[in-house]
Amino acid sequence: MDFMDLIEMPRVDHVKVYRQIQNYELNQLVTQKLFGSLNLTSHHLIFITQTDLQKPREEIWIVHSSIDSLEKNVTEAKFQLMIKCKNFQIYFVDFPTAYCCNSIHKSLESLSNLTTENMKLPFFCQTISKINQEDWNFYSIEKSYKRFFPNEDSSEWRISEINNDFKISPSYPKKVIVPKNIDDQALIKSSQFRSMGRFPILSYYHKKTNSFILRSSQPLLGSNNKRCKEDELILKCALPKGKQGYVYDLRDASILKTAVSKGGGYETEVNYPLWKRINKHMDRFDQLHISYSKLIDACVNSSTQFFYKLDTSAWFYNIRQALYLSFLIADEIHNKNGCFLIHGWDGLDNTLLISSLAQILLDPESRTLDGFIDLIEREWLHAGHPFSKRYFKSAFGITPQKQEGPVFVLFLDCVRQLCEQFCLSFEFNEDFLIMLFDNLYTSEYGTFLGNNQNEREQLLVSSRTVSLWTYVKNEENIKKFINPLYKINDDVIWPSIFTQSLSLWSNLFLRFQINSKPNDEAKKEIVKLVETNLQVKIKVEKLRNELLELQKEAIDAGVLNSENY
Amino acid sequence: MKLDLEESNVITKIENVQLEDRSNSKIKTAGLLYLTISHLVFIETNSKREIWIYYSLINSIEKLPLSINGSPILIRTKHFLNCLFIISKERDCQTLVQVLNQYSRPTKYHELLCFRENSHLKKLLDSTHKNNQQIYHLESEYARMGLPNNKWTMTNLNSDYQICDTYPNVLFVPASVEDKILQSSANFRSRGRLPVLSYLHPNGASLTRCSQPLSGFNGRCDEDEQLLQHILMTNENSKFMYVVDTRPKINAMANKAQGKGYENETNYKNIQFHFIGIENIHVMRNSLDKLVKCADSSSNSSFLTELEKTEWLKHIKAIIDTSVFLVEAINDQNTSVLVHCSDGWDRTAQTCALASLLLDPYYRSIHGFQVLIEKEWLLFGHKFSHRCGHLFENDKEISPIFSQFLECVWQLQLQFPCAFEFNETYLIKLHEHVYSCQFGTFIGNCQKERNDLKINELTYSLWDYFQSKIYDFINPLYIPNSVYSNSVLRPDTRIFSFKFWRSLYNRFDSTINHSEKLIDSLSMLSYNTSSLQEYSKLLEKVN
Repeated sequence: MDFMDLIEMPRVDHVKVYRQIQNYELNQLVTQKLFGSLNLTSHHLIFITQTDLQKPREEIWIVHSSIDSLEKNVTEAKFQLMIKCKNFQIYFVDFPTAYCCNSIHKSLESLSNLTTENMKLPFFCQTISKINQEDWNFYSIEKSYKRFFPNEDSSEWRISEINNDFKISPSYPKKVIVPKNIDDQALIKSSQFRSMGRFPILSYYHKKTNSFILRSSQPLLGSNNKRCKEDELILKCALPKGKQGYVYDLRDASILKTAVSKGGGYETEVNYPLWKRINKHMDRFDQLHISYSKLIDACVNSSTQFFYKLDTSAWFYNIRQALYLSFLIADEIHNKNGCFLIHGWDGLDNTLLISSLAQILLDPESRTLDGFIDLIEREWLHAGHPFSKRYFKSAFGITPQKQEGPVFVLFLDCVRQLCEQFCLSFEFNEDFLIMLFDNLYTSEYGTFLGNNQNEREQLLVSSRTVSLWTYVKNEENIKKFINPLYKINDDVIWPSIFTQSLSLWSNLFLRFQINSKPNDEAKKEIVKLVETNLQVKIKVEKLRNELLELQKEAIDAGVLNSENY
Repeated sequence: MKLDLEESNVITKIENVQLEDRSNSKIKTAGLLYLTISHLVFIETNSKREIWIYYSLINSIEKLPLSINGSPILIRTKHFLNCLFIISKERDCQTLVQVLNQYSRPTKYHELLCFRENSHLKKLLDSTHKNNQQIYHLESEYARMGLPNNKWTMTNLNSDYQICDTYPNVLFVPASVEDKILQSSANFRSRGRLPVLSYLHPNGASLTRCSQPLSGFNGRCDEDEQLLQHILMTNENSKFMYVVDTRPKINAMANKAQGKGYENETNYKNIQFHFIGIENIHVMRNSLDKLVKCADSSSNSSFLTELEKTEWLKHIKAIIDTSVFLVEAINDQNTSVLVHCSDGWDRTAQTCALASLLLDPYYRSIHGFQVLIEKEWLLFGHKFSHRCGHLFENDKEISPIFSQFLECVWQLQLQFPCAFEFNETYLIKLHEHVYSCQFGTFIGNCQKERNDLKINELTYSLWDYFQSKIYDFINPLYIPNSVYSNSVLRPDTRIFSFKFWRSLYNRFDSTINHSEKLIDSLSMLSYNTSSLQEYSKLLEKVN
């Protein structure tokens, strides 16, 4: 298929575009009306304003894949298309005829819903910068292993390459960390007993207390109560003496029966005697999508009962719950003797959310820029979070398969809440999180393509697209993402999880509605304060050294008595 | 401020007291309660941590149902500290309630803290002697606006508070108007609060304020109508002016039956009338009560729904909306505005002060903000003692009108982080001391009353105290010459721009407040920079 087959009318003249923009002087939202021509290319909708003596030509570029939903409004007098974007921007386009409107609508419907990964934007953007293999290999399991276990010989864990060909678990990476005493045969057996072959693997090791987090998918107990000795052995071997194991099952206890009847299940007390099972509810990705849509609806159409609408969207409930559960895990791991196995259904969504949030609380490394990228690679990309499915549509849309669910957006919001509560302890800033959000749904970079490592390898992503980290590591770009107030904080951070302590992410969810200028000014001022402080420190240091020099000279010359100093 | 228990007069001591953690009722800490003549002091047995509560800050004392451990008493303060003490002996509990009731709300002004000897403040403020404190003069503030000029003049008509006892003794009025007219207008306005100048914008448009007219169903006053024409004439740039009644129209209509009400539009020429709809003191009091409960139930999972139900932020929005209306009229349409509500000392004070703050960057400096409070609130007779319940009087008079003003300023600080010289801490401390009665500044209901009480001679001024701690209150992000600190502020008043003021309403809940506060770290950073700068100067000298 060729893009051109989908484009019937590459250009329409006499088009009006309306969008809401901020008038900074009046600090008000005003509707901007533009006249010009609309052009369709294989990846972009480009609107170009008419040349006018007073105004310079303006261009609006909209990537097809950034379009979340299209609404056509054709009446006798009006031929209008409403374009809602995945980043929450909304455009209204008036066409000169119904025919143009229908044709463009049809083209955009197809172009914005292309499911063929190969046709996605990153494959056509190799020129944005050189493909840097180093950035594609930013994460390596060996590096993580070294960090968790500086002394390999005494470690009770090993790296297994059992999944090297993605056979036993297509959504797992090639290499995983497992207990040393468990051989690969046992892993194969365990993988057959777990949904999608996701057997228990090490997610995080807390050196300070030698406690850890494992994650997996649900066991396939089924109605005839199957068990798997090897699976039981993995959990038994993993747990050192004196530690209490907890299976954190992120599903309501009430739903377990249903799970069993569908062939799934849970770890029974009889077969896993050392592990205590705790059921904690988290909304599943499809429910979270509904929450997200309600949240954005409240933000876009906020008039009456705004706070009530925010509340009923349950977005804050989800943030609170996610932070609360990771708080409990961090507390057990750091202050008590708990070790964890986390899973829900397939271990692709909430499992990764809770495990990565707990790490951010526990591990100072994950609060640095590199450490956070490492965490995203390890706990989301290599862990098989289905990025392609979950972020095909944003808050305004959904595909018939209903695979959308903004779990990673919730993760970013939780991290932002933590950045706000601990303004000194994170090396990266809010702009970095917003940049990640923007590349999640539509991107020129290949990082979030596909649903797991297996798919990314098949697509040859690392040789055909540029990594998002290449963009981040660029000297000019990286400056934008650094928190000037960052100081290394080696402690565990304990967030506040009351609703009062949380805030709406207005720089993201209200991004096209609020005036960001006063805040940008404040950000610049903070950078200035830090710089001034640094310069004065350098100056003082220099003067002090000069003084010492002078004193030394004076003493050497016998002018000063050294005993006085 | 930290005091020494040995220096305080302890009336009685209560043993075997437990303090219950508000966010987790299972956590209780044991300690002792001391009742001094000015404070309730709780000292934890193990950690020796002390909690000092001024009696004057106590808002309510509530005996809860008896529990196994003893009698629980919930004490809520006006600065939003909530303590639940469990007292093992019932008799001790009775003593506590009795002492608290006796001391927390005295019946006479002279029993208030600020009139007592205070060695701590004496030490702190002895450089600024009591008689030597910053006294605020209305004339100098009007001189700053370029007054008197050929349009506006100062009148001594109220020099002995003879036409209005709740106004200041000097007033600014149109130069063209005769005393006779002013006198008659005062007679036609509730409590004699005639239209006078509040703020003059550089473009000639003015902000004037007054109380409701005593119009009843069809009363009118020729001189009052003339006075408004004179006000209109002071501004050459507009052919008309606005009269803004900040009340909901239905409230204004209800006042008619009592011989009050609002201006009859047909009697006043070239004037546009507007009703805006800020609710009255009773609605605001109830809303705050709900808000405090909503903030306190910290395990509350439907906090946002509860917050919506309190309607608190809706009221805050209404006040800012009204002020923005005034700003747009004065600055954008070059049109003067006369503002009133019922008596013109609550909603009128809120909106006139806030509009001035939005219009004139001077009021966003520490000194200017203090001048603004002196002018619009203290001199124009906001009834601080009634509204704050300083004395044991009518509870129906209590209402958080000034607190709402402070919150509005805080909401603006949020939107414009670089536009204010003072920080959030300044507002929170100001809020506390409006109630604390340690300083004379906010005692009494009007200037006349403060003169009669000899406040200036007998008490310390809060402004002097603040001056001694000024470094705590400076906003490190303030940029004096930026767009936002140099011109008219235009806040976004859509509902999502309004936030719950956690640092005030959950001020003492460490589990709710953020662990690393941006404002604190920035202040520390600037402080560090300035001390390093001093040090480097010293080093340069030595070298």
